[in-house]
Amino acid sequence: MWSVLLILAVGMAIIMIDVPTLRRNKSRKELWAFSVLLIGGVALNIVVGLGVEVPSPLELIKIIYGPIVR
Amino acid sequence: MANDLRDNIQKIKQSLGNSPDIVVREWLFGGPNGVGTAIIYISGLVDTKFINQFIMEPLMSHDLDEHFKAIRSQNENGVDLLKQLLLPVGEIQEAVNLNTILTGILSGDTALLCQGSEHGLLIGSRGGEDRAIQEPSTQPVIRGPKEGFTENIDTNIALIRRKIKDHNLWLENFNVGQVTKTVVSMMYVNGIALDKVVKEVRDRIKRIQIDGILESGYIEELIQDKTFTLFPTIFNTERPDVIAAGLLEGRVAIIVDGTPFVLLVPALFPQFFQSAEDYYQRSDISTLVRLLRYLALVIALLAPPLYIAITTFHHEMLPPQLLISLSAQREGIPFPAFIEALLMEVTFELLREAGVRMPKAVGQAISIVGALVIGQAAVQAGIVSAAMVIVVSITAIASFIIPSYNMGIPIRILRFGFMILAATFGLFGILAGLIGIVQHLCHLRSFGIPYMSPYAPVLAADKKDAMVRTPWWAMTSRPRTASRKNTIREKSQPSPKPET
Amino acid sequence: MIEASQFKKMVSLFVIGTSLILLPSMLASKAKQDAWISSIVGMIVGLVLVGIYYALGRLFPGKTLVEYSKEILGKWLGTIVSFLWFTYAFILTVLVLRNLGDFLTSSMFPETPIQAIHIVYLCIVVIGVRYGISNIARTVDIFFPLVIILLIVFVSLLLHDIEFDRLQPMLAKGIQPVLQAAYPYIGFPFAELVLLLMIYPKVKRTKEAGKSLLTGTLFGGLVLFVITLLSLLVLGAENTASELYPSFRLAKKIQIGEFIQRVEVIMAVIWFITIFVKLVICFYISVQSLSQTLNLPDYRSLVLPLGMILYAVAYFIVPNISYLISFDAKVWPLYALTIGLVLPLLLLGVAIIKK
Repeated sequence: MWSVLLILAVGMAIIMIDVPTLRRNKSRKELWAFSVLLIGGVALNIVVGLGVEVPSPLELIKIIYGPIVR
Repeated sequence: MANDLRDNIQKIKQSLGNSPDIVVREWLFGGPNGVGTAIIYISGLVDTKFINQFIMEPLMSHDLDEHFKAIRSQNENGVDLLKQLLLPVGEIQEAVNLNTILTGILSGDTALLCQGSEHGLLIGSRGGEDRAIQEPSTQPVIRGPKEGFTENIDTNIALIRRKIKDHNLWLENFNVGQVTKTVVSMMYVNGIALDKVVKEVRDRIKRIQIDGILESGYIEELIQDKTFTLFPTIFNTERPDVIAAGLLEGRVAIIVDGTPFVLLVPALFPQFFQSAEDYYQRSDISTLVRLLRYLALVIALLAPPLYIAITTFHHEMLPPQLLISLSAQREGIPFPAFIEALLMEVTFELLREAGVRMPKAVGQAISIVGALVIGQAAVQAGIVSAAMVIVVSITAIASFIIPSYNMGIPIRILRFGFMILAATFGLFGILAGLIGIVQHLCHLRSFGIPYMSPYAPVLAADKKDAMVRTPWWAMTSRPRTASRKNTIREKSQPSPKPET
Repeated sequence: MIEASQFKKMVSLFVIGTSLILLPSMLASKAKQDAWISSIVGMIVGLVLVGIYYALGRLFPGKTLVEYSKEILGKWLGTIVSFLWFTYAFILTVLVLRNLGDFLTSSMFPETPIQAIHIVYLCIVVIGVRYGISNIARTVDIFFPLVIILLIVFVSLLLHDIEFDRLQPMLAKGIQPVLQAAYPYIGFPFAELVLLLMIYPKVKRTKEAGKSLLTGTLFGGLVLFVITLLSLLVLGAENTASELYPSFRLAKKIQIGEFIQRVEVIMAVIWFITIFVKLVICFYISVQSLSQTLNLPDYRSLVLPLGMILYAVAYFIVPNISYLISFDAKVWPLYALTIGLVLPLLLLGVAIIKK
């Protein structure tokens, strides 16, 4: 519970730090990328914080290179 | 201004609020049928002897008939005639509007007005009491000149001019502060100083919009590079020799009337660890002392945090005997190391601030009382451990080694930050904090020049004067951080060899 | 804009990075007492790789890897490849952070939760990346001499514990194990150097940039060689192979009289700095490559969100250390060589054909 709140608080802080400058410069593309990444980051952290088992990207790599690995 | 003398005098007196220290001396120039003339000045600001001797006397002597006739016939230029023929004074300015006259009077000039003339004269007659040139209180040296700046800007400029007699030493004046109208001067050696910096300083000073400038500190804050930082990016000093040396390196000096502290720009990190004396003493001792200063920096910043980190998290790092005695000491202490250190540091800061305000005699007593008695008593009462008192004392001593007071401030503040880091993350936190600070320092610029030069970016040539002090015969180039022009400071000197 | 000398130092510290703690054991487990030979072999191959990167960098002065990938392969394919660069950089960053966290929790701070270490480290890395590459270069300028001095002190303090017999018998099992051991060494860290092609164009004088890349790699490899050798000479092959962090064990051995002991702190400080440099460079490259893949004007806004993602991924990227070890040894070299050798060669080939 606390960890979720903390993560959201951090997310808020990041928004407060970066968004005003982004809006001032009217960089829509950046704002868009920023938002996507931020939502991803917050979501991912909440998921991990709640103890859900997330598959590691290394697994993907292992699968790709599976047959070559002895 | 009007034609009528009476009117003008009235206007001036009213603008100044009929202040009792305004002196108005009226008389008829040229005898009973003469032209009404008046001089106006403010008593505390002028040299009255000068006025009496060089203004009153010539204008009141008796063989003035031809002049009188000339003035009678050419009303408008009467004042000009006076200026041309009768006033044996160096500084005379003609003034047309009321404001100029007022500013002049308020700066210590004497205003001379004539009936029938819309012009007035402002005669330079500045006087009044000034502090004599004394040894600078904040940056004394064992060897070196013992002159310090005073509050009078003309004296200060003169002190610098006496050290650099080159015609390229240029001066620009500004009037800063709507209400105080403080004179601020910018000095630099044309041909050595970077044009970019000179222009930047000029622009920044001109942009200042403020009621009053009372000290160079105001200017410092208003023109420094706008980044959020604790570290000083402008250097200040009370010593003319330091300013002269800086000017020779291509820096720009900013002198503010009313304070003996003169600013020097651009200012980089290594400068705050240099003292004028480094250059007057031999290079070997100066180098060692400089290295000592950097060591002092590390101690002043990290000694209490290290104490906290080691006693809380890393006991294994201490040799066994020390560990045992430390544990024995800390046995009865009710607080964790962090609180102990915090208490001692805060107490010390209190003592420090108190010491600054005390009159000299009492100040000594305070430091003795504080250091010995309180410290000792605290240990005996079991509130802090003896080791802690030692750590705090060494920290304090180390922090006084840093020559520039400006630099001591961020260190004091950061020390507390590091103490918190040490208490939470131990040594690891301290290291992380250090990296963070270093990154921040590298990011700073003083008037466009990276703050950490010549350490980063590495400018090999400038290293001769950063951490070590190379002997004079080897310092052939000016620091490239301050000036890219005219970089040769001296030709290679042959070092004289003894006759074999 | 960074100076060539700064770039050289950055490359050196990048190569030393995490390999300082992980390499000796990695090499010794296959090559035993001949690990030092593997180190030389690996370094030579590494220099060849760097030669390829240099060739690529020379063809496109002033442009970053992502920029000319798009140029060479066209918009669609180029963007995909650029995204591959990004993932490579990002995963590397996560692994480096995790390496550090694992190392510190297992050896020096067992009671600290790994997240605390990650957070503190991430803070200073984020600050560094936001300040920009010139700032990172200047920070390296300041810390590099410190690292060198500490390394010299470290080596000097161990000299009297050296026994050359520990290197015998040389090549007992033939050259095979030596070469096998060198194989992962090529993938980590040399194949990672391709990412430095994102910073390469920022060096002031491009002619010197190539030289710096090579000398930096050489210097880094040399330091790793010395540490590996030292590890074998002082601890012996078996101990080196069995310890996960042999250089730390080395540091613990330092003893001068009764007073100076447990000064593995010296080593900890060195690692702290070298890993920090590698981490901040990797993260910078990750953010830059993502920003350029998406054609954004500036990378700064992505730093904080990407940092959050980094923090999360660092947590679940590996369940435990043994997973990481086996991954590092078996899978990473393949991945790294695909991205670090095959891909650059491909780009180089296509670029040359097009011209």
